[in-house]
Amino acid sequence: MALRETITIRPYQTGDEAAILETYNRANTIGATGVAPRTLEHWRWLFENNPSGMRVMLGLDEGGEVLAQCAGLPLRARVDGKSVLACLALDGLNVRSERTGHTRRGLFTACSEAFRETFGGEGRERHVFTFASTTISNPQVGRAPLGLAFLRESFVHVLDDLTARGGDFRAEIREIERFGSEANEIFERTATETRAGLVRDALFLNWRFTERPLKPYRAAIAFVGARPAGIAVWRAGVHDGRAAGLVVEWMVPRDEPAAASALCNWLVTRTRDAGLARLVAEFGAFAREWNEFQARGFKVARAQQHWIGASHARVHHQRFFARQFRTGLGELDWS
Amino acid sequence: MNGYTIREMEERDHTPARAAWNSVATRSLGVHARTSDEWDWCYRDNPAGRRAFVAEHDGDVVALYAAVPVKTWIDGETAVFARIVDSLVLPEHRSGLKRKGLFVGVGRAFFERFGSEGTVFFGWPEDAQWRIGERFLGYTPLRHELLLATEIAMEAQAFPSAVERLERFDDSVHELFERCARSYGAATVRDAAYLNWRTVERPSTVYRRFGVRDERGGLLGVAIQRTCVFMGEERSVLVDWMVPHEEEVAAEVLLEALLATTAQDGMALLCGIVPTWSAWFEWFQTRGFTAHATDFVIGGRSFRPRQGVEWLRERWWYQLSDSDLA
Repeated sequence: MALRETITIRPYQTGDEAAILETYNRANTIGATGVAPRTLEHWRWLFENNPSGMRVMLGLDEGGEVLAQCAGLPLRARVDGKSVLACLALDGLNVRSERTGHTRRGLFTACSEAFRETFGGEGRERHVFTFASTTISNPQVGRAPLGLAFLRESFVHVLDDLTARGGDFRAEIREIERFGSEANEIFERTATETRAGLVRDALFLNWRFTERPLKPYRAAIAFVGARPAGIAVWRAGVHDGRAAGLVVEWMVPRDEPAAASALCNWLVTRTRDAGLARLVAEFGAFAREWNEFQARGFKVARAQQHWIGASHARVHHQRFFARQFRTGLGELDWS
Repeated sequence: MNGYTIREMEERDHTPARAAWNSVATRSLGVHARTSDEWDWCYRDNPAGRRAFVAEHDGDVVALYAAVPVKTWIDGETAVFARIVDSLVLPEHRSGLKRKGLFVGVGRAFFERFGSEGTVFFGWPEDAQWRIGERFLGYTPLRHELLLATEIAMEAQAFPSAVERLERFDDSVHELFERCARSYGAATVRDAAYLNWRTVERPSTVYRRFGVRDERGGLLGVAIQRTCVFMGEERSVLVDWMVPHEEEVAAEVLLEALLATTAQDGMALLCGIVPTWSAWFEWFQTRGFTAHATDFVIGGRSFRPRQGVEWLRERWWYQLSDSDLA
């Protein structure tokens, strides 16, 4: 009988992607309006091409149908100067079987426990911190099985006055197709200011933005003389139901005010040229940019999602990550 | 727990409980000792009563877990919220943060006794209390507080003539609260009994109460201010803001009164807390306030089946008057 069949919980194996996508698209596009099915190209970029590897735990029936999935993106991070892995949880699934019509209750929980045991914790190749965003209207989704708890509210910085900023004559903006060693240099200069955050070097930025299928991003580097002095990445999108220019990456060292002004002007110009009326960015409240962007005229508004997470580190409680973990709109823009 | 009696705090415990509080607070927190007037105001005179447990050892109060209850309007009905304000164990009776000790024992007895009333408990615990509270007592973070602050010009600003300085609150304030409450999911009932106790009768503390009235004498808006040390510096603090959204003129003149008072006091900064879900969060920003991170994390434990911490995060209107921070 179908209900007695054996369910296998195991990590992803080569060739599972078709079954994963079939289940994912069935769960996320049926009945939903305007949600395009995920393509194999997108899936491969997200999971297979991630330079930090893949974290997928599946619950499969005997016929190979994916009934549940607990998945995350391992991402290199620095916590108090130490190189670690963080994990962005996403794409959780627990669906009705196409063949039997039954939903295996508790299967997502079982996958999540296997996921945590296999990948979470301290030590080589394990992640010390899991994080995700969840909507305000449905805050409990996927939380309990992965042990994720409320970290903090998410806020955006919104600029509705898109008059020209003027930039700064000392900095030159160059739009780029790919990130090179100058990105590593800028990242290392900004990393010292952040107690916990992702490693935003060229390897990460190229995967995250320039190789991303379907969504075109525009990236720019500010140079002061020959010195790379700041990075911003932009795309036209929608935020909280309104069309907006989105600042999906912002990395400017503290001592490069000219680069910050010039990049801000570039973002405003890009947004205006795209026919959009607002520019949106996201920073944690303890980030330096939280105040700097308000000084540039941005207003703080609560976003429609919260950050949730779980610490697997001995030293750092999740309240440490709640306060210190650097987030931006780039951490939300995966699907 | 051997040798300890854990029970509800009674009138006769006030003096030894205050002595225990003073010994801990003055020794490790460096705050001034609480007078009997201050203690009585908090635990005897509160119109909503008290919620407190003590642990007794050899006739001495050695631990305290105490909350200040407030009558609260929540989702159309009246309930009790209680701010956990004083929780302590004398150092020689402590067992560290990783073991369940006397702190947890008293806290659990407290929640067992008062949780059944459908109460929501809340507070802004310090780090050590957060750690033990999350681990053993069910504390859940509600939000990291953002402070709205504006720097003001130091030249004298005229105090608006439309604003009245209120000596005490009368019954008309309840009508104002009911108008405001339409946009709240939950809020402390700001009636005359509560506001007079909280902002008039509190010993050794001066609050300025500002009101705007209509031609019939009804209140259109109220703002309460205090100049005090807040977040390490002397500042002008917005302690309470009760204005219906449609009373835009009242809101503007009340803000003028706050700015004028701030300047008169020689303060460079006016600051306050507004729940981030509220339209007032944006309103203050459009009038020059900016939002700043703080170390304050409000947490709670709800015993209401339909209104957990997640629900409250989106709907509960609270102000610094609901805290003991100002």
